[in-house]
Amino acid sequence: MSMRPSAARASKIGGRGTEVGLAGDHKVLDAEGKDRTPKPMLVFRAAGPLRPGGSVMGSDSFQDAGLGRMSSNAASMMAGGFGGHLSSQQSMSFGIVGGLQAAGASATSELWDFESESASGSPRASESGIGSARGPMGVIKEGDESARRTSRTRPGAVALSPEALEAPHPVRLSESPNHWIWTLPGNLIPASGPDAAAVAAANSRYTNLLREREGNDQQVHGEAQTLNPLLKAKETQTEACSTSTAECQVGNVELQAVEPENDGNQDLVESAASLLQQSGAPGGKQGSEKPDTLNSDLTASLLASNNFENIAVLGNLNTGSGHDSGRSSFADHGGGLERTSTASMASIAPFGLGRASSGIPGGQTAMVVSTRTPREQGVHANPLDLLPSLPKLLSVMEAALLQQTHQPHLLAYRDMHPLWGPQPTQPSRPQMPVQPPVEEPAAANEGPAIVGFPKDQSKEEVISSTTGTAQLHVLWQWSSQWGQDLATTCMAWNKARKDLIAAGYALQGGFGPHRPGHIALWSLRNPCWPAWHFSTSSGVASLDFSRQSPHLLAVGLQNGTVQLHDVKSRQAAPTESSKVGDAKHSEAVAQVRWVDRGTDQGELLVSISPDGRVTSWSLTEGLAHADLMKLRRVAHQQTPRSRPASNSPQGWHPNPPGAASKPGTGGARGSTRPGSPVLAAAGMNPRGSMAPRPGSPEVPSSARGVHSRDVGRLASPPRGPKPGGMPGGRRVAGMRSDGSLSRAASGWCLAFNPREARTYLAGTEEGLVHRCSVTYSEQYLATYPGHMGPVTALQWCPFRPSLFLSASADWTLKLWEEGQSRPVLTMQAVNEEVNDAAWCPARSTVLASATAGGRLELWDLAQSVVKPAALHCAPQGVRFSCLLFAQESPIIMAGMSNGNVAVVRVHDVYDWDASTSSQVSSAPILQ
Amino acid sequence: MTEVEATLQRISGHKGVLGCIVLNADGIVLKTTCDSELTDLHASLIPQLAAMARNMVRELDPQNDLEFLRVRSHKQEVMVAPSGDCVLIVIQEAKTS
Repeated sequence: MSMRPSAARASKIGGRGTEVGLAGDHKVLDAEGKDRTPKPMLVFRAAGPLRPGGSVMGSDSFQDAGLGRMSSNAASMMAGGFGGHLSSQQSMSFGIVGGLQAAGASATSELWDFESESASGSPRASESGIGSARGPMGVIKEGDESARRTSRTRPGAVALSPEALEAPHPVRLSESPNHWIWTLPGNLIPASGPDAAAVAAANSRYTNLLREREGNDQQVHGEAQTLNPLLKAKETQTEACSTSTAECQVGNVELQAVEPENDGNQDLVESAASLLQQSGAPGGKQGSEKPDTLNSDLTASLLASNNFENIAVLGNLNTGSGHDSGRSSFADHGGGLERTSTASMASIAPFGLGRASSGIPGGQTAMVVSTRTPREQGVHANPLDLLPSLPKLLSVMEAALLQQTHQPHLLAYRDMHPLWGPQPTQPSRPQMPVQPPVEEPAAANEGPAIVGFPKDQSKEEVISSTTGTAQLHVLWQWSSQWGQDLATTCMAWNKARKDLIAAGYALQGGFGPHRPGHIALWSLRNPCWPAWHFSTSSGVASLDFSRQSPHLLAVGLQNGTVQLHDVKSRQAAPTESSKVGDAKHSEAVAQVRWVDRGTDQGELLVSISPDGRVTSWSLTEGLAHADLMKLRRVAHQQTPRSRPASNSPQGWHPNPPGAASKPGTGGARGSTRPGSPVLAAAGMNPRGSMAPRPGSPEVPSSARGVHSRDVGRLASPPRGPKPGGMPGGRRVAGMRSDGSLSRAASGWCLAFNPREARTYLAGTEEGLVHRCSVTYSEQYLATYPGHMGPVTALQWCPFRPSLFLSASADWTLKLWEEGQSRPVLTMQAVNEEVNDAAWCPARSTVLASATAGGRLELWDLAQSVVKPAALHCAPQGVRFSCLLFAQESPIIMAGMSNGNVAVVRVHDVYDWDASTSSQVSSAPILQ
Repeated sequence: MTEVEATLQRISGHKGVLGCIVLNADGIVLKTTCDSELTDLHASLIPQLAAMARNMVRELDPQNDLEFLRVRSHKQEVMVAPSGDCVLIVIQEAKTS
């Protein structure tokens, strides 16, 4: 390697002993002045060419020089690495530990170029350090130009001569001492080393230890415990959330019944609604309490969204806790909230919670709501009126209540026998052992004989005849609670509703026309109270329901007025009323009848009155009347004196038209006419006491010279000495003159032929029954004489077309055949006026009669024509005034003079089945 | 006096009737003829039962509807007539006439 001197800036390459200091001429002196300048780690020895002729630098000085040069640039050199600092021309390889490169950039000038010498001296480079280059180095002359340049850095350097420069200079490179920076000792030692045996022994000892550790007694297991951190308890306190539970049960039907607003929340709606309803159910008697504010906040939060509109209700439900079963406050809230819901027990529409959804806290909501309740109630005076279905419920409830107490009667009415209890025994004993199943068996021990009678009707007596199989039992009595002394005068069935019956009441004793009467509508479902009742201006004499308009009730009053009432409208005022004038009857309207003439002609209202007029009323323009007939007294001739048994047919003939004006009073009926009591003259009414003593059929002709009776006539009404009131009549009867007295007959009853609506029967006070026609207003078609007293009732037989029944105040019932002017049959049981008679609609041979003596007689003509088959006696002093058969039940309605209407059950006279009668209907079960 | 009130009076005066209560659809007592304690008890219990009974009836036949309900116990009989807008309750003694 050749060292070429290069411009060294601040490095000095000194000879031997020359220390190369820092870059530059920095010197560090300690306090004592010693030179403590750190020596560079890289020492350059100037080579010969550098200092030709100069002193040979020592190896160490070169080394120092190199180090010194490099120490100044250590940082930059090491940082830059070798290449950066080395000039291109020079490259130096030093055996410097640490890789310090010689001189770096600054040292480039001083770097020796060892190239020329390394080629020759390279083999020796490894051995010798840089300092060995000092050997052949030339001495750097002092004062040399180039040396001076280098002598700045290397004082004492000598310039070399060119020959010296050319001469090979050996460079000895030696290895610098090693500076250990870091050592990682390995854990492997050679097996052949001196410690190998010891190490191997230790290793084996350790493995043995490991192996023995498991079961070794010397092994001590130690446990350690970590200290738990100390816990600290911190308590807080909050307000308790008040809750309450509300339960309800919702069935599938309820879930389906409600129409939800939000389909998605249907179940929620239902549950909320039901819960609300259930908890709203409790009575709201207790005052409204405010809900907890906590829950009200909860509610408020729930009210935020529309979807929870109904859950807000739920939230409200949970308020008001702390009350037993939470029912007290629910009602108000629930009630108010539900105010807008559709009314339904189980179905609750979503509520109009508009006010709730606005975010008002639940407490306020509830308050708002609960104040609505009294306000709403305050608006209506009677909250009961708000309920449209309440009346119907009331009627149902009433029926149920009554059924509780009157079930045996109701069962008997419907001809139903209870399943339990003894069946009706043989009618040898008057007993009605009806034991309804629901009643306790203890009831069977009551009253042995007359079970089933209302307990409070102790006044009732039942005397049943034991003849035959018939029995009559009073089931119950409808008593009039309005006004005393009102007697039942007439009754009429409703044509549409089979259980509705109208009963008319009037004051008795002649004051009837002047005092208000009464009309009550009774229903068989209600044995206690009428369905409706109202008062009329005058006593009621007759009633009839229309068939075509079943709600129209025609009323004939005792002052002669004919009125029409609309039962449906429940108004006491009549719909129509006949005006005063010639329209009004001058006497009491004895009977009104609706005549059904078919659908094309409608119905005709006909009334008959003792003033002799048979009037038809039409509903056009009020109540227009047209007289159908004016009844005239008919003078019937009997064969005088000679009294053949069959004189009657001869004597009875229809009067020529002119004979209608036959003068005479009642007696002008013919001198031979048996002295019929002329009631017209006496002004008797059917309820008057006319009680001729029954005598033998033989006429005591001694008392009456004028007349003689036909003895042979069967059961003709005997005339006995009448207690009073009759002598005048008889006297009149004796007159044969054609007087010019009033010729109008008094019509007392009316019966239209059900098969032919144009002919009707009119019964007069004189005892004659006239068959008339609507078309003939002047003439009778036929006259049926025979009754000695006013004819009180007429009825065509429902089974036989030409047969009709007449009842009269002369104690008899007569059966007539249409073509025969003589009664087919005459029946008389006792000497009491028969006030009413009726055919049984189920059996063709059964009829009933009601007498003024308080007897209700049931006749069975198949059994006997002499005496009735069954009998029922009213209490003392009570008379029967009217009679009706029920169409579909074995029941007789009997109106009594004490204002009661007795419902009488007929037992065992007939069987209500189709086998026994041609026109009976099977016993239907009434609703 | 309206007919409704007259009927109510009649019913409550019927033999054996202990009381008569009218509730509206929400369970609020509109009218009662018995003491308030009994009224509250019944008013809180009856509508639930009636609702259940109605459910039963309508589940058996959806076209059907409950008309009347009776609960007969040893001492009393409670008759309930529910409807869409009100409930009528009558309590009667169970002793039969």
